Amino acid sequence: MDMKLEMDGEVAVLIPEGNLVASKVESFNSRIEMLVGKDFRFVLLDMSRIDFIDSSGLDAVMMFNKRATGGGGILVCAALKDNVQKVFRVTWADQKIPVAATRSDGLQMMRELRAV
Amino acid sequence: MDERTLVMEFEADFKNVDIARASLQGITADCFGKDTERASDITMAANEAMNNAVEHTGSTTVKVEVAWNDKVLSVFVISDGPPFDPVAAVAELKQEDILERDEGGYGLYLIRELVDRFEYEYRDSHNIWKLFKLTGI
Repeated sequence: MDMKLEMDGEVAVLIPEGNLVASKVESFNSRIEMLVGKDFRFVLLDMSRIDFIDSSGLDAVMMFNKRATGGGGILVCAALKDNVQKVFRVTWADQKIPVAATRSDGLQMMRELRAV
Repeated sequence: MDERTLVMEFEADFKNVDIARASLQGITADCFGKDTERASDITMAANEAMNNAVEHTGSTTVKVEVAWNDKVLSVFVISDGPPFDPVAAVAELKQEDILERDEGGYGLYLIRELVDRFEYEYRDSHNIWKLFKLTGI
């Protein structure tokens, strides 16, 4: 799975591209490992280029969130397309992971969460 | 609209699910037009049913029968294996159970929430998951 990393201060912004589905989860996980390793604390997952997500993909995001928060970090998901947002809403994932409408909103949310 | 059908049969592999899903996306776009939410709902639900057939049934092949007309779109996902009734399994799932989970087990719940009707049949050693979405809304 294609994924870009951009840094915004201390925040790692990950931008995966394509469908986050069962056939791509392994690649998604290994790209994250390669790009941010184990030392990340603050990650914004810019999902604007994710066209489709299934429960395996959602599971991968949930595990990523668990790993981030378990190490005292923060994961924010941003810029979800309507169908991806619906999966988050139906499964209540949006109650467990901070979700922002846009990347800039996500960065603002990250600043606020870090200040708490 | 006369009823139209498409039957796909593929080796149980997630990469083939991707191809079947792409075909289904074409059909749902045709069925639901501008109602992209309902089109996406049934596509996501069918994707979960196909994933389940690949991952959990032990079946070497998966068959998908799609039928649609101006009233309803149905997707039947058929696999070998011992009986497993997903409708009964998901009926026991409560919203609180999902809210408390931090990973895993969302597939069946998604199907239940995204289709208009979800049925199950076990026939001739095949699990048949039947998903329906009304098209005439």
